[in-house]
Amino acid sequence: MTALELEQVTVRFGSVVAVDALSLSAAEGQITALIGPNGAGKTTTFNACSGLLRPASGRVTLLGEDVSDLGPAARARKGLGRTFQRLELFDSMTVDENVGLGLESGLAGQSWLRCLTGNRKEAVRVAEAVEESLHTCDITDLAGRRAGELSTGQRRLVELARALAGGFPVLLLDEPSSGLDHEETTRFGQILRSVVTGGRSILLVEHDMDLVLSVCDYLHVLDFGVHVFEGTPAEVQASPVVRAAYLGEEVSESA
Amino acid sequence: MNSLLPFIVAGIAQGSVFGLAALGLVVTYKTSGIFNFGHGAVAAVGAYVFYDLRTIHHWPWPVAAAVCLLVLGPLLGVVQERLAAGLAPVRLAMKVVATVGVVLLVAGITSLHYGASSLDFPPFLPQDTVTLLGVRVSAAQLITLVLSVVVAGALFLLFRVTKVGVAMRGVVDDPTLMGLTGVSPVNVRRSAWIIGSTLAVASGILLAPLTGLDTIQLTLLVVQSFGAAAIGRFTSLPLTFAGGLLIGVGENLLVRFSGDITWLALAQPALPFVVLFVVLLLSKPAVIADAGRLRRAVAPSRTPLSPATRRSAMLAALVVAVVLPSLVGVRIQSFASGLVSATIFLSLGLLVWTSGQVSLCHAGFVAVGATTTGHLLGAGVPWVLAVLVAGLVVVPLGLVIAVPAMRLSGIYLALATLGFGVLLQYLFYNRPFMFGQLGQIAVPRPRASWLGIDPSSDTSFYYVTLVAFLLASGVVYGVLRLRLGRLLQALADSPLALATHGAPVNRIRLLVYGVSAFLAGAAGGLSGALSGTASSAAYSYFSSLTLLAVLALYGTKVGVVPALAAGVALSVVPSYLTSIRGEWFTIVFGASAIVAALVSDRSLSLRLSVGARQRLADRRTSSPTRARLVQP
Amino acid sequence: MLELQGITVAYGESVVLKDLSLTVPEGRTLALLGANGAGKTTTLRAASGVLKPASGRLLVDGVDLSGAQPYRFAKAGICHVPEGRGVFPSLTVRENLVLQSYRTDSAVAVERAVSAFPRLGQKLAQTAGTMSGGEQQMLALARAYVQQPRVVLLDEVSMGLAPKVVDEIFAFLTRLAEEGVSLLLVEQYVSKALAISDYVAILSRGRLVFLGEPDELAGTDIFAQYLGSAEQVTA
Repeated sequence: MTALELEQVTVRFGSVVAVDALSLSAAEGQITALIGPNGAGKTTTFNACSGLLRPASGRVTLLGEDVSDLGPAARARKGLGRTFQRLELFDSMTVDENVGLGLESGLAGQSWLRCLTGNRKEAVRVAEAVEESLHTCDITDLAGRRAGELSTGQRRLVELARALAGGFPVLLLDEPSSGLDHEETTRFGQILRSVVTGGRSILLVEHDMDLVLSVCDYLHVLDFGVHVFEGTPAEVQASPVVRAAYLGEEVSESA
Repeated sequence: MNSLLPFIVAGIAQGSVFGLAALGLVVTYKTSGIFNFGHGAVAAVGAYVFYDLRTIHHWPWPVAAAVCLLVLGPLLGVVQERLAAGLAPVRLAMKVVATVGVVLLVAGITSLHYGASSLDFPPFLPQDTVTLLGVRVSAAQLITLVLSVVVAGALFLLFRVTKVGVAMRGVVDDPTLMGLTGVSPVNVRRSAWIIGSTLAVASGILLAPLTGLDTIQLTLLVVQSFGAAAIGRFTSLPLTFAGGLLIGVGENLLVRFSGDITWLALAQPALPFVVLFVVLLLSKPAVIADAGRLRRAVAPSRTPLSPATRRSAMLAALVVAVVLPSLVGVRIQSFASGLVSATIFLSLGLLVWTSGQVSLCHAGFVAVGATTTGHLLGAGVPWVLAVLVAGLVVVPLGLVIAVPAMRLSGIYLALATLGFGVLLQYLFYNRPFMFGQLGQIAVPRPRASWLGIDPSSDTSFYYVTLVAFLLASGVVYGVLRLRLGRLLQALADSPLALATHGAPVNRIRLLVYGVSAFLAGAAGGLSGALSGTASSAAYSYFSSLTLLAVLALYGTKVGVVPALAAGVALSVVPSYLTSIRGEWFTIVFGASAIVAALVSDRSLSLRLSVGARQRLADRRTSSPTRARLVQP
Repeated sequence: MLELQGITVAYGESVVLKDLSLTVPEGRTLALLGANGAGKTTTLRAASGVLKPASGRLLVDGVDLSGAQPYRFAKAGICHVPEGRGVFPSLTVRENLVLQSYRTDSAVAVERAVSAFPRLGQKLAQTAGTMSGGEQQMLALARAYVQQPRVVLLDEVSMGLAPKVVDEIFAFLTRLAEEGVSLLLVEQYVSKALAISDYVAILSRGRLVFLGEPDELAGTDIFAQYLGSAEQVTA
């Protein structure tokens, strides 16, 4: 079964077609990347996946279930988590509260009562999820710090930990390495591998080709809202189509 | 049909004035992003100055009108542009607070100077009538209509054809880019405010002969304006003007049919709200309302008082509260009133400061609570139960307006609540199930003397309000400590992240709205029992504005201390300063609300945490901090 | 022409530009390079008055404009084409051009814009926000021609555009330079940028680390040192 599948998804802004009849899928237990130049429609595609945008046409299938008509919160409760390129943390709250809310948000969505308060069993679940995801992301020492006080690199990890705590089987990560230095990026890649080893699936939008080529199992290439290529990292590197559309002729010259 | 025509004609004339006012509102809202609740107040200023020049100083009316339109209007526009620029960086609730402050300021000053009662404003346009298509039309009506249509048309052309008009539309897209193309965005916005404010002044002068000169009445012009603007979706100028006509005709037809159904006459001021409500219901909801709001700097956590200090402070305060009756003697009544106000402020603060939702009808909720308590007590329901049920009754009432408004951005909730408050007041206050024809209902104090004391004495009732306030504080602190509290705090930081993790954002907003409405309703029962009689005058929509203004004086935190401080400012201080006229308090509240709003978030950006600074530096493509940006 | 003297820009305590001095000489093209976050965009923002430096002076033709509003810079002949789309999306193409033409007649503005980018001629009545990215960028760049500025500051104007459009834009920049306009160029296509530049400046963490002619870069490891690998160098 595929984790996430888009079929013929078209997004328009006014009369501009931002994403044109895009079909792609992310396999379960793998890291799939979505790459393409700026303005190719990657973030738009993500927003269509998570329900922040309603496509003009097309279908979004999550874990075999059609979620096209659901809003963002409902899709999250069906198992789709995401992070944001511009980092959407709860800045005034501590790291462990942030991460805990990753799970509590979904719990709150179950009923009016659950929105007001949780029971003891849930509290234990939340505490366990927080501990585990802080550990996975290796930020246990930040638990008591306020999210707003951290560096970009730390904040990226907190955002990932929050999504992990939510227990989402499918994760959308939007440019997780932007603002990270080389060392942080490498570590981030290792964490992502460990996440999929644990059985989850990741769809990734990313600019850093080193990261993409080293951690991804499969790539989709977008250009001007159109799907132009897909394949393994090796195939993508070898493809002349991709070089023309995305990498450009500049590659060799400035290296 | 023929019997309807005169009403339609009068409605078109009056509606064209609403249309003018609404155009002014839309122009300023679009260019500056500030929804001016003081728009009607500006109209009132225009009408009063015109009255002063013409009736008191005996200037010929054309001269008086020229001074108002060519000097006063532009002047007020320039002042408002400065105010709007100062408000650009603050949160939505504070923008509302500031423009509401303008309303209070104007109402206070005019009432102080010209008296509170409505002044006779003789018509100045010729009243000769002509017969057109079988209907008698006055020259004044014709002139008003022609003038309005010409102005509206000119405005439309201005926006389409002239450079400054195009710039006014462009500045909405991107003020920074506007500066880069060599046009000062400040000048562009100033032109918009001058137009908006002059239109307000014009509509005030044209409307006053119809309504009489009365600030409260003219302030309501903003309600008619936003009803019209809602039809134009706060964007389209022609539709906005048409909306004005529609509301004018609608109001006059209501008058026509009120001969058959009496309460329809009262429904007049409520019509714009009904229009807004319908537009809200028909509007396509945003996926997540207010997701793309300003990113706010994080204030560093203040070093909290040590638990021991805190405990002793609370104990000391409690002791003072308990012995207070023996210290202040007969004035204890005003302290009881202060505690009731503090309870209302707890309720309002919970709503505004935690969820960012602005209520401009809290006095209406309190009124419903008071009258429900009165009716229940009259039916023999035990006192405490009556107050609690009154709280519960207000909850669904609050949700009726909140649900449609919440689907859109925050300003719509503020508008809907203001309209709802007006509707309640004009349509329902004087009906038998509320205050009744006389505008008064008995709300006795508790009588059962279970502890061998007379619970209806002022002192005992003071203790009742104290206990109620403590209970309400318990509810508020309890809610904030529950999961809902965490969700609310997260909601203020990032609605987007909350929703994409599965949290029901609107349900969170509704829950806090419900809690707030409950507390307001229950406080209503207490407020009615303060003097034993609740009278409708004490719960006008204007009181709602005052409540919000006073709330903002004590910062943006929810808590016992700010609520008590606001309660003291509203109810206790005036009782000690009886020699000072009430208008002065309105003026002070209005002025301080404006100041409080202007400085509210500024202090935050000066105290940016180290991490936030780092991040701003890291963010390559992001918009730069406001502190460093040249304010366009 | 345009002179930055000891410009320091700070967000709170974090310094983004440190004591930067840079001159864009009359009629010449200066490429400003550097890794992500080096301070290139900040430099342009400071140079057009969008951002107020904490210290330092900005001179245009020897006149001190430090602390002036952006529109004063524009009137002094500084044209900043910002990153992203420098157009008013809800206005039509013609209205965009009207706003750009505060110093000329709007008919002349439209004429000049169309002569620079003929494609705009067929789209005058279209709302700018509905045009393709390339067309929007052309409209934004048209300002650099319509307003007849002395200095044009260009921030990643080729970002996200198809190679063919990028070529068209570089041809336009060449034309501007030939007409004697000074250019300050921030560009991701380093080699394209260097090909049309007379001088090159390299920023690293807000400081100027190299200033010279493009030829001087040959055979040095300055690129590897300061430009990082993520942005241009991929494979």
